[in-house]
Order: sequence, then C-alpha cells, then structure tokens
Amino acid sequence: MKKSVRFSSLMIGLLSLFVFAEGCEFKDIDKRFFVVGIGVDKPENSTKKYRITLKMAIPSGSIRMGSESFQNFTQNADSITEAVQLIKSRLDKEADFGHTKVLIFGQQLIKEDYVHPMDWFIRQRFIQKVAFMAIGKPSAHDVLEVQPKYERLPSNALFMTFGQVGVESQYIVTEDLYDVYRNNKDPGVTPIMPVIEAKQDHFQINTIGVLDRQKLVSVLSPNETRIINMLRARIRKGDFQVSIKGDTFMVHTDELSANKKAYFAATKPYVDINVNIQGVIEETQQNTRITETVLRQVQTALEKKVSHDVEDVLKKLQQQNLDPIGIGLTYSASTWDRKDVEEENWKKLYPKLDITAHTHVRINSPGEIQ
Amino acid sequence: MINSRYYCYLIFLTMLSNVMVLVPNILLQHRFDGALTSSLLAVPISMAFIYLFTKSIARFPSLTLPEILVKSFPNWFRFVVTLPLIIIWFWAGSLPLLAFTTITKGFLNPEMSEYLILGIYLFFVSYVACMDHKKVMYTVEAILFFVAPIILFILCRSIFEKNFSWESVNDIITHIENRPDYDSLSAATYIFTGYVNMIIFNKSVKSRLNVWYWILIPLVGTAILLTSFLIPVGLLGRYAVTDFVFPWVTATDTLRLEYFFLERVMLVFIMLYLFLVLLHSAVVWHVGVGLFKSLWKNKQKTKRYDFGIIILFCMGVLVMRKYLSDVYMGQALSAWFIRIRFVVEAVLVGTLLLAARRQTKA
Amino acid sequence: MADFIMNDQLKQSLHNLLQSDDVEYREMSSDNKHAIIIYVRTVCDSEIIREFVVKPFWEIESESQYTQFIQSFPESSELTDQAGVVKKLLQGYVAIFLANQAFLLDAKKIETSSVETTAVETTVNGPQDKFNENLLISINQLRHRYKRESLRVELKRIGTYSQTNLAIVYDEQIVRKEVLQELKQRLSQVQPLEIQGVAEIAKLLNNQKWSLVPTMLMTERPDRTAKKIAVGKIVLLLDGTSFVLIVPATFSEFYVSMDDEYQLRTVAYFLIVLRYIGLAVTMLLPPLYIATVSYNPEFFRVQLAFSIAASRAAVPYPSFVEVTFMLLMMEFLTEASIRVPKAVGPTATTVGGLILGEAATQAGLVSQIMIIIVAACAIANFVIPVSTMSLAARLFKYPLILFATLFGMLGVVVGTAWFIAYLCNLDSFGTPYFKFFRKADQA
Repeated sequence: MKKSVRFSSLMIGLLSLFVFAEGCEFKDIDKRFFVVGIGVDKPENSTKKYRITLKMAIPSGSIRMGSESFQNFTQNADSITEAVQLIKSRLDKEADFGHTKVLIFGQQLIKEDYVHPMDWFIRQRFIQKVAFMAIGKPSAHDVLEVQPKYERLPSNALFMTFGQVGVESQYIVTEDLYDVYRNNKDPGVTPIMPVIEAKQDHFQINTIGVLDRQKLVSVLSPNETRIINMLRARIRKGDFQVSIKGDTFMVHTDELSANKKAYFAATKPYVDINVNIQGVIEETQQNTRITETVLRQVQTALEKKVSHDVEDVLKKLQQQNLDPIGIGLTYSASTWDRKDVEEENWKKLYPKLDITAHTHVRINSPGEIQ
Repeated sequence: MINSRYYCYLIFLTMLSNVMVLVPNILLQHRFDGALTSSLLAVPISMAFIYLFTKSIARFPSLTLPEILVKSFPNWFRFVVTLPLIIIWFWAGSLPLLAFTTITKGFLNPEMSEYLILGIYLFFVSYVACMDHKKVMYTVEAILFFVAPIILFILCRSIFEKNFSWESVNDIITHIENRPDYDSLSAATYIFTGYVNMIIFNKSVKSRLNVWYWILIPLVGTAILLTSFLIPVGLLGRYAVTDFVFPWVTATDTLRLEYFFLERVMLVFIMLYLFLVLLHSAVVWHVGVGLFKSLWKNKQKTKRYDFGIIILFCMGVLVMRKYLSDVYMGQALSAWFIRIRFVVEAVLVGTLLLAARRQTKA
Repeated sequence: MADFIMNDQLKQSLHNLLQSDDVEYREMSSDNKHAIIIYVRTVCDSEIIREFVVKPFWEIESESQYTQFIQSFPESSELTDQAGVVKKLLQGYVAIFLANQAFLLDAKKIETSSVETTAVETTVNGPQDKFNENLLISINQLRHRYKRESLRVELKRIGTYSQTNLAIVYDEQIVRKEVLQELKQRLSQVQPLEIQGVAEIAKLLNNQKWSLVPTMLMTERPDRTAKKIAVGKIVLLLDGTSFVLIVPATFSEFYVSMDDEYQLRTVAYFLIVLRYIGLAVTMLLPPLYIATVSYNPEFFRVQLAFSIAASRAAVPYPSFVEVTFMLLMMEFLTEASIRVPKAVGPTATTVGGLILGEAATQAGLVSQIMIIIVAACAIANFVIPVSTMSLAARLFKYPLILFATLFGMLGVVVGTAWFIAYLCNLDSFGTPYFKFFRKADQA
C-alpha cells in the first residue's frame, strides 16, 4: 500500500514536471527561422530612419550546391527593434539570431552614421560578437539578395570568405563586430570595414572603407586595401607587381610581417613601419632570364615600391586624421603618462607625425625555372 | 586525514571560479589606475597570509576553527568570531550564484525564470554542501579534473587569438606606475583566498603544503590574476572593455573555434564555469554550515542539522534575489563584500596566529 | 604420537591454514596405529582419498604394512621438507602423518569437464573459463589460481528456506579487517527467506534503497577474482550460480576488462579511455540533443544546425518526445535480443533495425540525426565491460534527459555535476567509490 502511494506520487510529480516544461519556453529548432544576415540601409523614399533586411534561411532536407533557399524580409522603421518586431509579425516561426553572422551597412547609411545601428547589434546578447561587419554596395539589401551558384547554405559564401576557412585573399579584410566596436571606442585607432559589392551571382570584396568615430570617411583602392591588410598583419599570402628594365615581375609572398616602431621621445617624433616579405617570383612578362643580379634588382625595386606605397597610404590617411593600423595604440603602449594626458598629446601629435617605411624583401627563388 | 593536495584544490578552485564573476569587474574599473600594481602587490601579501595561516593551523591537526577557539580563548570569544564569519561565508557562496543566475538567464536560457534557475543551482549546492568533508573534497577533485583542462585550453586559445590586441595590454602595463588602491588590492587578493576554507576542512585534510605547492600557488595565482583582467582588455579593447556588464562572457564570445563542431565558445565557457561556480559555492557553504553547526555544543549533530541550515541559506539567497532588482545593485553588493572580506580575512589570520602562539606557550 | 613428526613451525602454519573451512583435518586411530590426514577439500579428489588413504587404513592391520602401501603409489613421496608442506597441500596433496613418518600423496582434482567458457565477460587473449555453479568446484578453480596459504574460505548458510551455501573467500594477510567486519555484520543482519543469485545478496547488503550504480562487483571470471583477492578484496561465492561478488568495489573497476591486463600497457590505457568516452557518449548525447535542439540552437555550427532543422521539419512533436520514443524503441530492441531464443535472435534485430532505421525517418516520426544519436548511444553503452555497470549506464541518461527537457543546457550541466557528486558521495564498505589518484594516496 505504502509503496504504491509513493510510486504514484512520484509519477504525478514527474508528469507535472512535463506540464511545467510545456509552460516553459521550449522551442524546437524546427519552430525557428534562422536569421543569417542583417542589412541596415537608408530608405530611399521614406521618412523612416532605417530600412532593415533580415535574411532568413530555409533549411532543406538535401544539401546540394546551389540548392539553398532563403527569403529576405525588409521593413522601414525608426529603430532596428521596431523593424524586427514588424517583420516577426509576418512570420510563422520565431526568428532566431543565434546564427546571425553577417551584418551589413548600406553604403548610403554608413556615409552618415554607423554607430547608432551598431548599438543594437552589440547590446543584443544573442548576436555573436564575431559576426562579420561589412559595407554593402550599392546597398545592404542587394548584397543579401545575391545567390551564388556554388552556395550550399544561405550566406555560407560570405561565412567562408570572411571566416578565412576557405579562400585566403590579400584583398579581403575580416572585421568582426567586437573589433569594430572596440576600435570605435579606442582613441588610438579607427575602425575599418570591408566593402562587399553585389554582382549578378557573386560578390566582389576588394576594398575597404575607413571609418571615423561616426561614419564612413573614405573608401580605399584595392591596392591600398592590400597594404592596410598587410600592415595589420592578418594575412600571410599576397602578390606584388614590380617593373624593372622593361619587364614586369609578379612576386608571390608566403611570409609577410609588419611591425611599427615609434620614436616619440625624439625631437621630431616619427614612426617606423618595418615590412618583411619573403617569397618567390611567379611570373614574368618578357621571359627575362632571372639571374642572381636580376633577383637582387627585383628585390630592391620591390622594397622601394612597397615602402613607397605604405608611406603613401598612411600619409593619405593621416591627413584625414584616420589611423586604421593603430599607431595611436603604439603611442599609448610606449608612453608612461596618465590616460587623459596621453589622449590629449596624441590628438596634437598625430597630424604632424612623420611616417617612414622600411621594407625588407627576400626572394627565395625565381620559381621552377631561372 | 587525506592528502594535502586537497588543500591546494581549495585554493585553485577559488582562483578559477573567480576569474569570471566578481574580481575582473573591479580590476577592470581601475585598469588605468592601480589595478596592475595592486595585482602584483596582492601576490606577496596573499602568500604571506597563506603562510601564516598554514603554519598556525598546522599546530591544530584535525581541529576546526570553532574547536581551536574553544581551546585557546574564553567561550564568548567563539561567538564573536564565528557569527560574522557565517555571514561572510554565506555571502561568499551566494554572490557568485546570483551573478551566475543573471548570466545564465542572459546568455543561456533567456526565457526561463530566474528563480527556477536559482532553484536548480541551489539543489546542487545544497546536495554537495551537506556531504562529508572528504566527499566534498573528492567531488572538487573530480570536477576540477574534468573542467580545468578545458578551461585552461580556452584561456590559452584566447591569448593566441589573431585579433588579440597586445598593444592594449601593453598600454595597461605602461600604467603600472600608479599607486595601488584598496579596492583593486582587495579584489586581487580574493583570487588567493581559497585557503581560508581550511578552517573547517582542517578536520580531515592535511594542512602541510610541500615546497612544490609553495612554488605552484604564487605562479598559478599570478597567471590567473593577470589573465583575469588582461585577456578581456586584449580582446575587447582597453576602452570598450568596461562598457560590457560581464566583460568575461563577452570576451569569450569573441573567440572562434574553427575546427570544431561548436559555434559559440561563449556557451561552452559559461557551461564549464557553471561547474566551477556551483562547486565553489557548495564548498563555501559547506564551510558555512560547519561554522553554523559549531554554535551549539550538541554532540550528536545529524544530517538534519545540515539540511536545516542549508534551507536557511537557500531562503536567504532567494530573499536576496528578491531585493536585488538590477545588475548594478548586485555589483555594488559584490564590491562591498570584497572590501569587507579583506579585513575579515586579515583578522581571521591574526586570530589564528594568536591561537597558535598561546598553544605553543601553554 | 603424531606430534613427533611435526615441528613447531609446521604446526603453526597448519594451524593458520585450518582456519579455512575447506581444509580437512582428520585423526584416525585403530588399536595399533594412528594417523592424521590433512588436505584441502576443494582442491583434492575425495574419491582418491577415500579409496587409497582412508579405506586401506582400516583394512590393513599393521602400521608398517600401511606405510608400505602408501609408499607403493608413484604419486606419493616421503615428507621431508616440512616448510613446503603447506604449499603442497594447497596444490592438492594429502599429508598423511604416521607415528614416525609422514607422506604426501597427490590427490589433485582439476575440474575440466564441468568448467564452461565465459559467456558474459569474454576476452580475446585471456583465460576462457568461468566459475561453476557448484560452489566446491568454484573454490577449486579459485585455489588453483591463488595458492597462498593465507587464503581463507569461510562457509556459511544463507536463506531461511533455501539454506544456500555461501563462501566468503579472502586473503587473511592483506584483507582490510574493518571491511571484513562490516561485511560479516551486514550479512548477519539480513535474513532472507531464499537466495538464488549472488546479485540478490548485493541488493540486500546495499545500504541505499535506490542506488543508480552497482557498488559491488559481480563477475564470472576466476582470473579477475584471483586478482582482486590479491589486492585485499573479499569474494562472496554462492552455491548454484556461476557469478561471484567482490567487495569493496570502486567505480573504475567496472571499466576494466580482463583483456586490459593481458594487453600492452598503452593499448590497455587506450581501451580504458575509450570506455569512459563511451560512458560520456551514452549519457550525454541524448540530453545534449534535446538541449541544443530546443533551447540553444546556436550551440552547433550553422551547417549542423540547418541540417538538424531540416531533418526535424517533418517531426510533429517536441524533441524530448522524439528522444524518449526512440530510446524506448532502442531499449525494446536491446531487451528483445537478450530475451529472445537464440534461433530467432537475428530476425528480431534485423527487423527492429530496419524498422527503426529506415521506416521511422521515412514516416517522419523521427529525424535522421536522432537515429544516429540513438545508435551511437546504444553502441557506446555496450563498450562498458561489466554487465551490471553496463545495464546501470543504460539508466543514467534518463534523469539527464529530464533535466535537459526542463532546463536545457543548464540542466545538462547541473545534472552531470550532480551525478559526479553522487558518485563521490558513495562508498563501498568504507572505501570511497569514485576517487582520483587512489594509488598515489595509498603510497
């Protein structure tokens, strides 16, 4: 008797727990829409502040190349929260931001402001802080609409590109949400974002936009992008072109490193950028026989060229008071003043800082033939 | 009596479980001022405390603090020391629980009621806190054995992150000239404070540490202390880091494990830390229960006493939860706890030292 | 009279030996002769002793004739080395002490015909015999593998109705006295009506009414038993079953197969690690599935999340129903293939596997990922070598599934932590059940 009472009370207890579970937020994976990308644009003919695009993945049973399916939802609103709520009213499943990994600002919007929309992204706990940030050209919506043939899962092409799991290119800069945020807050460095250009069925990513604390200031050329990427020491592979004696040589590098050395105590403060390149010759255009002397000449020519390019880019950015490679951080890290003193000094110092570049190139071989 | 390595586990457990919740917030607030200096100063101070404490308590093998007090001081003194300690220990166990309840609600189970989360935590903590001294230590060893290696892996992984800003860290180091301040110092010494749990565990754990442990503790402690506030600085930036309510949680969200089936390191990290925080609270409350029980001179102390005291503690936490309406209040409470605790720790070590003196004279 | 031939040392060691219940000491005296025979009942053939030692003693008149009679056997030898007597006795010799002479007669009994090969705990390279259902034969097997004179056999009867023979076997010199004390005390406290299997004793001796894990090791292997006796454990042998019970047991002992002892050290470690991974997989996979699918889909990579979402699209009920349903099916299948007659066995598994694997997903009752999880869970379960633990491990996952259903990831963490604490809190006859670095602590 006693046993059966105990048993039945246990069973009732267990059952009530399940009822309890029903009441809880128990939402299965198939009751959710995964938002894989968010685009923020400036609406074209509306008084609202933003035009939000959510890219929802529609999982399908068989995963084949080019068989991905997704749907974009757009909404004009004054805030992202409002837009998301309005879009949710059009869905039958809960929108899940756990796999949102691409955040794109439209070109028009970012020329005015990127800090305010970013507040939503950084404040939301469900958005990954490693989500990739980018500028969409012509608009964020257009970028999210692109459907490459080789894509298996929605937005996977962008995940692969920026995650540097697949392609490694010297033109592609990866900027994560937290990276942009921390650089925006740090007086010693300014943020950048890669520009994604939407084409028919692929993307083109070979430029970066340099931002100040509020908005996009300038878009660099592919060559300048490459230099910045190199100086940020995030990529090891690259190709450089150099011309001497009527021939053009392509040099492929497999080791690339750059460091900054600052001399702020000097009477005229200056920064030394040291670039080290190691590589092989990949291509010549006039079939020049590459002897040892030619190799040396290519080396020196490349050294000169890279140094020149680096100085060019950095001086251009300096004139706009932009500092994407964080010379200001180097300054702070090497001075022992108080924090506010450092900030003040750097503001005055940066515009007249002398920037020099030194490149050291070592070409290991002329390739398979001499 | 069980091996003295369990004494070390107590210290390491406190070190690891405080990397994330209480200590870094305070240190990061003072990152441009005295945080680094205080941290470095905290190591010798804490080691001196540990040394004096270990030497004193070694004179009383198999005795708990209340028993030592009875032996060396008048009877009323026992209550004067034990009562405040009970409050401190209750506080030490409940603050991380409350902080972690907020974290889990925020990042793991946003839809769940905080009381429910707290309830399941209290279930585990109560279960462990009511076990035997030795059994508690075995649990600590077993869970540390599984969890610590993975946590160390993630910590190391975060240092080798490509985007780790070493220059931000260097900038913090260039502010080392600042004078240490009390807040940072008390926060930094809290990392080492695990040894005080020996006031109860001395009953069944050997308190003599051999030379290796004396080398290991300061090394690991310094490493953990520096990781605790330099890694968030490196990952979240020297300026932005204090913008985040839980810097460590956000910092782990900036990590990417490319060659694994997991997407967000943050979730794994929170889950692993949950093990440590629960375990830490359980150990601390076990000591709290032990102190509480010593108030009565009843010889036959059954399990029922333990359960009664634990239920009292649980009620206390639920009441605290009810009146802590926001994150800032919780953080203020932790800050005050850490400040007060430093003084109490010093007094405790002093009392023991005095007791040991009297013991040798007698 | 017979004292003449025995020196004190021999007497002492014989005295020690005689504390075992299976050592026989018989004094025989007729009008003109007197003899003492000593032998270990469980290793000697009583038939030989009766026919060639006892019977002739009464039939032959004078002592000198009897001496000659004994000497005439090729298996007999004169006892000269008194120190070696005990060893010889344990090997299966009978010692016959006469007035001024002593003999050793080989009466070894090796049970081969009735010893069967292991059925439950099979090994690749190790011995293949298992204990017999006859208690005396089992002790015989054990004595052949463990010939130290300090081995004690205590015989008892248990069960008011069944009066089953129970033997407590241990090595007196290394056994922990307090464990033995506690075991005997607990044994004297229980008074069952009848006992048929050794596991029933385990249940009776267990202090906890509801325990999740076995705290006494049940085995059918004489080699494992001998190894355990050699480290001071106590063995309970019951008449009528081929399984024996070893106390105290620790958690890790259930994850050691006898094959590990016969393999390279590296291979053995690999296998042990493999089994713990198996335990983790069988315990954690289903709850983790529920927690990720229903609470934290961002836990897995995006590709994995999408394919789970896609394959679950047709499933009409929540994940915990799916998991419980599938696990139930799997348990049915396991149970069925154990219980089903051997001839039908393959049919049951094939049909079951086919239905569960293919049809269930086709019908949209469960997702494909779920099938993989359940299969992995079932296979990993059987990696655990000791059957009692393997069966217990089948049960561990259900509380964790409940936790995961109610609390998600949080539940999995707290459930696992609680399980570890539960294991640490157990002890088996005073020995901590789950503990690391045990060897280092003993040294």
